[in-house]
Amino acid sequence: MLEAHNIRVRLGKTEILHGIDMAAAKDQFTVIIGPNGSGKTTLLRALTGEIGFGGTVRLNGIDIAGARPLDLASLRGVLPQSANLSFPFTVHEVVRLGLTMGVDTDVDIPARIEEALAAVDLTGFGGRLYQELSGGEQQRVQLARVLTQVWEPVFESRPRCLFLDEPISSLDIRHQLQIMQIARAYAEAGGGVVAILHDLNLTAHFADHVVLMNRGWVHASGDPRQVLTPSNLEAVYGCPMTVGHIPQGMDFFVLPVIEGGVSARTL
Amino acid sequence: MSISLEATSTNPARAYAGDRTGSARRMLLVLAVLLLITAIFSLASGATDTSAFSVAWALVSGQDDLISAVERVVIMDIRMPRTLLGMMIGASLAVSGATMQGLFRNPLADPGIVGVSAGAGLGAVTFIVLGAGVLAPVAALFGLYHVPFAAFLGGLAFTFALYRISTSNGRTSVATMLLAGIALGAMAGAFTGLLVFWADDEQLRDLTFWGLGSIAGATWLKVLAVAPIIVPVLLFAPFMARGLNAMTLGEATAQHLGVNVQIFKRIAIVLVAAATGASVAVSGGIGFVGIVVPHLLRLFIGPDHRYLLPACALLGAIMLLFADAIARQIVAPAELPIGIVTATIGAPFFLWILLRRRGLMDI
Repeated sequence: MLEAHNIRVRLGKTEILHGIDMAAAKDQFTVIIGPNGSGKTTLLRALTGEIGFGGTVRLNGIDIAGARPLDLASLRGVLPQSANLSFPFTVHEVVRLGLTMGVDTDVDIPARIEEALAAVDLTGFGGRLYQELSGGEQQRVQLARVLTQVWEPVFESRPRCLFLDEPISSLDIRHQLQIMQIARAYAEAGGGVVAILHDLNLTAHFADHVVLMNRGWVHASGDPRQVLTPSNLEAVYGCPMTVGHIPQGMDFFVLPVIEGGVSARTL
Repeated sequence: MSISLEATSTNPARAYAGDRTGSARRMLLVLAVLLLITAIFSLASGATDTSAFSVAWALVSGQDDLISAVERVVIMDIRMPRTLLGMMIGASLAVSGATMQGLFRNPLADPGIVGVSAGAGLGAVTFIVLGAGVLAPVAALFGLYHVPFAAFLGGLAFTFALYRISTSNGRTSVATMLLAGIALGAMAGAFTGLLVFWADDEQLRDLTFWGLGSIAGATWLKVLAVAPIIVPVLLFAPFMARGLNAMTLGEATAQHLGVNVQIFKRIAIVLVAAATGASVAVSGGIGFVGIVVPHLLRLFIGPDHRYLLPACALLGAIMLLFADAIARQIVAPAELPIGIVTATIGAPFFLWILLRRRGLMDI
C-alpha cells in the first residue's frame, strides 16, 4: 500500500537521506530501526509529506505530493514523537481532534472517544487535563487520537495506514506490549502500520517487515530473521550483538555483548 | 454566528467526562442574554438619563409614549452608533485575539503583539501628521476617511510583511513570526515616534487621544464604514474553528488531520488583519480585550474554538460596552478614552490569569 522510491532529503546543506527505496504492505507491521541520526524520523516525515523531499511516495497508488490533505487524512493517521499543547484541552477534547475533518460523520463521537481511550488503557481519563498527564500518558492519548482518525483499518475497501514515530519511547513494559498489540491487530485487520522503534526485541517479536537504516541509507530490509543478524546489527550499531533463540512463546531475542567484564562493580 | 447544533449529543442523558460542549452552549446562551441587557443599558445611560425599560419598549414597539422625541434623537443618532460600534469593535478585537492565539499556538499572541496594531497605528499617525503637508493630495482624496483608511492599510501591509519574512518554501514558522512581529512593532514605534516629533500641538492632542483608544466619536458613518469589514469576519470566524483546534497540535499534525495548513494560515491572517485594521482605524489602540476575553472564556468553557470564537465575539462586545460605560461615568461630564479603562482593568487581570495558569501553560 505504501511505496517510496529514491527518497532524498536535504536539510540545509547536508543530505540526510541518500535515495531510500522502501515499501510497506497492508496486513503487515513494518518497523524502521537504526541508530540515532540514521534518518528514521526524517524518512517517516518524508513518507507522510511533512517535509519536502526528492523522489516519490505513493499511498494506495496516490502520489502524496499532489494529494489534498483531507484525502490523505482519510487514508492514514500519523503519531508524532511528542506533542505539546498550548491550551488546556481535556483528554476527551484532544482525542476528539482526531475527528477534526470527520470522514465518517454518522459515528457516535463521544462513544468512539471512550472506546479509543479504553484501547490505550486510559478509561476514565477523559476529564483530565492533557497538560497534567505524564509523558507516557500523553503519548497514549495521542495514539487514541490517531486511532479515532482512522478507526477502521479498511475503509471503503481501501486499507488505511498508521505511521507511528517511536510510539512506545516513554511507556512502561506493560503499555509497550499493549501498544505493540494494537499495531499488530491493526495490521491483521487489513490495515498497514509503519513504526519507528528502538527496541530490537519487540521488533523481533512483533514486526512482519524490518527496515534497518544507517547513515541515510537502507542497510537491509525484509523479514526480521534476515535483517536482525549479528553482522547487520554490528555493522549498523557499532557494537557486537548476538541473536539468541528460545523455544516457547518468544521467537528469538537480541542482546548486546558487553566486553571485558564491564559492569557496575568494576566501574 | 453559526454553530452546528446538530452534532453530538444524540443522547443528552449521557455525560462524558471532559466533554465541555454542553456547558459551552449554555455559556453562549447566557452571554447572548447578557449582551442584550448590556446594550440596552448602554443606550439608556448618558447625559440625558432614560430608563432602560423605556428604551427597550421604544425600540421594540416603535412608539414614543415612554420617551420624549429629544430622547429618541439622542438615542438613535448619538448612542446607537456608539453602542453598535462598541459591540463590533469589542467582538472584532476578541475574535482577532483568539484567532491569532490559536494560529500561533501561544496564549499570549495578540494582534497588538505581532505588530498588526502597531502597523495600523503607524498608518494612522502618518496621515494625522503629514495629512496637512506632504500627503495632502492623498488625504483630500479620501476626505474624512483618510486616517481610518491609512490605519487599515498599515495593518494589512505589516501583516503581509510579517508573513513574507517568516515564510520560506511555503511554510510559516510560528517562532520566526512572533519574533519578527516584535521587531516590526519596534520599527513602527520608532517611526511613529519620529512623526510625533514633527507634529504640532493640535496634532499631538489628536495623537494622544487616538493612541489611547476611544469610541466617543462614533457616528453612523463610522459604523457603516467598518461594518462591511467586521461583520463578515465575525460571521466567517466559526468556520475557522476546526482548523484552529487542529493547529493547537502543531502545523504538521494539523496537516495530517486533513487541514490544508498553508491556505488556512493565509485566510486566518488576512481576516485578522482586516478586523484589527478596521478596529484600530475607528477606535485607536484599545488594548487587552483581545487577550483577556479569550483567556477568561478558556477558563470556563475550555479552548475548543467552535465555542470559543462565538463566545469571544459576545463577551468582547459586552466587555467593551462595559468599559465604555465606565469611561462615560467616571469623570462625567467629561469622558475618559476607553483605552485607559480597558488597560486599567485588563492589565492586572491579564497578570492574574498568567500567574494562575503559569503551571499549566507552556508559555
